[in-house]
Amino acid sequence: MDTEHIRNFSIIAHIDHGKSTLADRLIELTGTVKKRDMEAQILDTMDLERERGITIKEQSARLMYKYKDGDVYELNLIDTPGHVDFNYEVSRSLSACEGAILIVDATQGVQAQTLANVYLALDNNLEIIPVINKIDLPSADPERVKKEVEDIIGLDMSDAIEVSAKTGFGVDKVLERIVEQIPAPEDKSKEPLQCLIFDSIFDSYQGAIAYVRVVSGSVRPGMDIRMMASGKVYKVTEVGYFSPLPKADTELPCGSVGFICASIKNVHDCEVGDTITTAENGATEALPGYRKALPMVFCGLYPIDSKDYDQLKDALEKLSLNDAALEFEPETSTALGFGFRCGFLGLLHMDVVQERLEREYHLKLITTAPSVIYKVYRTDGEVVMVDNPSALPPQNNIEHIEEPIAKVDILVPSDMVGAVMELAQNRRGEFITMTYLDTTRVTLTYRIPLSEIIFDFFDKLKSSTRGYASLDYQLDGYQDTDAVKLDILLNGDLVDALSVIVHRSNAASRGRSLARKLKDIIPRQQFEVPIQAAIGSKIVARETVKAYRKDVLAKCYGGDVSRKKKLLEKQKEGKKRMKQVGSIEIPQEAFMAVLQNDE
Amino acid sequence: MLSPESLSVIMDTLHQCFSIDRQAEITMEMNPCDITADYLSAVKGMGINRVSAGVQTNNDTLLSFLGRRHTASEAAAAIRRAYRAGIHNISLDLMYELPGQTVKDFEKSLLWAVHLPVNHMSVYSLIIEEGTRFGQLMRKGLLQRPNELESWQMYQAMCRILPHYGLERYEISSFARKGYRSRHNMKYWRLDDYLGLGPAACSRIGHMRFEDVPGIRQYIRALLSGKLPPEEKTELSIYEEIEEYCFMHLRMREGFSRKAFEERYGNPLETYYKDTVEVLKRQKLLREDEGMIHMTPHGAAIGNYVFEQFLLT
Repeated sequence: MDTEHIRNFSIIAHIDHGKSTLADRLIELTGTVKKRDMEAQILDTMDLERERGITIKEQSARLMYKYKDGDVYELNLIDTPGHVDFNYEVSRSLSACEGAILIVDATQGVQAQTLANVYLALDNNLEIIPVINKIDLPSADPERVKKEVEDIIGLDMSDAIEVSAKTGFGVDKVLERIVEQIPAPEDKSKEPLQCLIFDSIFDSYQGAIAYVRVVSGSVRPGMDIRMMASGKVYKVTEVGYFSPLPKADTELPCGSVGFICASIKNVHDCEVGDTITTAENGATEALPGYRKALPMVFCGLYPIDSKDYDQLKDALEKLSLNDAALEFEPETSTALGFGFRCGFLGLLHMDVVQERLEREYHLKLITTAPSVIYKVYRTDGEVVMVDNPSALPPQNNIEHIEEPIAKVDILVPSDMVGAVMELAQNRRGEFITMTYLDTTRVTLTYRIPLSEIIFDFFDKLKSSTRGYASLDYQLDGYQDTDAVKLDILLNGDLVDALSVIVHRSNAASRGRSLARKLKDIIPRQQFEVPIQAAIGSKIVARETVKAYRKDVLAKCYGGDVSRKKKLLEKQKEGKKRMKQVGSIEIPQEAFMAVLQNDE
Repeated sequence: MLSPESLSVIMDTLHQCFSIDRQAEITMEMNPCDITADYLSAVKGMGINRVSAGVQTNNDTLLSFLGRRHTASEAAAAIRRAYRAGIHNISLDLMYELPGQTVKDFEKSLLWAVHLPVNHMSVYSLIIEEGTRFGQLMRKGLLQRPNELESWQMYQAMCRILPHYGLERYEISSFARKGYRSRHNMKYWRLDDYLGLGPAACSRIGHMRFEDVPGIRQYIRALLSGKLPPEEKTELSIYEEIEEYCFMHLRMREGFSRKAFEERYGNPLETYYKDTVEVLKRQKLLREDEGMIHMTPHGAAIGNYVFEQFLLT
């Protein structure tokens, strides 16, 4: 296909505005997948993605579309992850395109991620086709939403397409407009090879497979290629495209989108954002925009049964083959034994990895509370990055500490501004600006310590605004903080996995509320368990979990045995989610409770 | 209540099918109301030598709440009647943790019961199950059950008072005078073979467990058509049996002997339970005396925790 007949595009939207549904309709309408083979939302392939209704791994599809002039066009759809955690991946996917379809929900209008995504698309000079979705809903108000988009974003909405991705109404117009409005890729077929990696997956037979956009030159099996960031060289074994299942082809020409297999050992060797060129006489410059995926949130993962350590290690290795952003290294905890410190892009990423470990690898895990990376300036002049509270140097060796700050944009109806401000202030937020988007809606911008938003900020925001607020955030440097380590002692022993770094101003009250919470969470054992919270050598709180005194089945004869045994088994099963620390059974919630500061 | 004639048919059939030890313990479960002089003399003649009566409490308010037909004084009279009729091996059931029952109430029940001519007692705490009448009342918050401290005091009262009057606690909920432990019940706890007959009856023979169909109509229909009533058969795996062996034996004060375990299963206890016994001993929940492993009083109070440690899966 000559570049004149290629169109590369993404679909961008706020979460739940119908991105995957529209993608499905496009695939269906172009006959790429026969209707009877359509599974709802075929682009979200992981079970988890389908269950949560979000896209984590990007997928692509080549749609062959016969335009009304009779010509056949190759439309390459590049799906983007729909969550703020994966912002960098979104930006790489967008830079692989010339255009983007912007979906706005006709009932909800502009949301925080609508804005964030539009700005990303504009940064990448994409042609934007606005689409108003869900116009079949009774509460749809396309005129209001169009006006809103014009007012807020400044896009011309006079030719916005009204569709219902669910029923298929208007979707044919979307296809036409892709051909008409999105520019064809530049023909640079004579120039040295440059492929932008916008995603990669791991296949147990082929190794890591790079999903690429060929920006210049072309790529064929047999060619020697070089990863420009790592400098590593590979021989291409196969190229092809997605329909949406991968199909091998003889060549990926300039302008097109597809995959490259080259016996690459793992996804870390084919990083998103990197440029592929030829080993000999390659491009001299990489495509702009590459950066290493940096984890922002860290937590400890420990097998409940220490026998499972090797299995956990295997599983993490396997997952990281397919997840360049996942980092892990062995760590030991006196309380939890051997485990791993793992780094994630964000909370959702962490959740997804944890759930996959449990679901796909049948591991029972304890996750310690997520932590951000603190920059600790020691009195001896050294600077250490601390992502684990128990690794914080002793107080007198610390000169000062810096913590990561996020710039948070919150879009909220104007009558709920008060609730959001209160929440942001409780989380040590620093107010930056407030902008009225129109008469009813406001964008609030705050700088909030990342540690204050990684855990339940989004939930709290949603509940304090009855679900109306939407949020987008990005990292905005480090800032001095007066942080201290809060320790928890159970039965007189320090449980390192329960330690947490908190701000001094509320350390004592956090300690008291945490001790109270743990008292409710830690089940009563056959002996009394004192809970203490300590800052340095000072005990700031004490609670006691009382022992239970009597628990025994009174009646048990022949006929009862199996039923009584089931009761015992149920009792035992309940403890399987708990970790034995010393002689105390600690449930998973205890490790998470340290982050909830909803007093 | 089965008529003496029907009972006689059952006893005759049993004697035709089995050879029965002359000293056999033959118990009949009876409601206090049914213990009449005539009935007693009839059943005694058939060889029944032990009566077990569901007395529950000596508090008439609680008795009517439980839906029992008898009063405390009727129950006492019935027990004395049985004793006078020559049945000297009498057991009664008591309950605690009843809604509205105070610790004092229960202590009174215990003292009242030990002054009756009985040599065996089974004392149970009331378990309220979902779906029962009590379960519904409980959910609606209409039942006031004793709190944790009160339950604990009742339990302690039971452990203290009964032995003081010569009824030794030989199992979690069973108390007997010397020589009057229930031979029948001990078979369950020792994992001996036993045969149960009748609707819903359970049997254990070797590694097999049988459970007869629970519906009495279905049971009778099968017999009338000349067939055996349907039964559910389960073969116990070695592990399932070992679990049961341990936690059933541990219900008894004597516990079980390492040697007997090893003889029965061919391997020492540690093959199946690495350090379980040692850990429980350290926690002072188990004790071992001359090869007999048994629960300490503290262990018995939180027996479910101890039993759980013996589950293998």
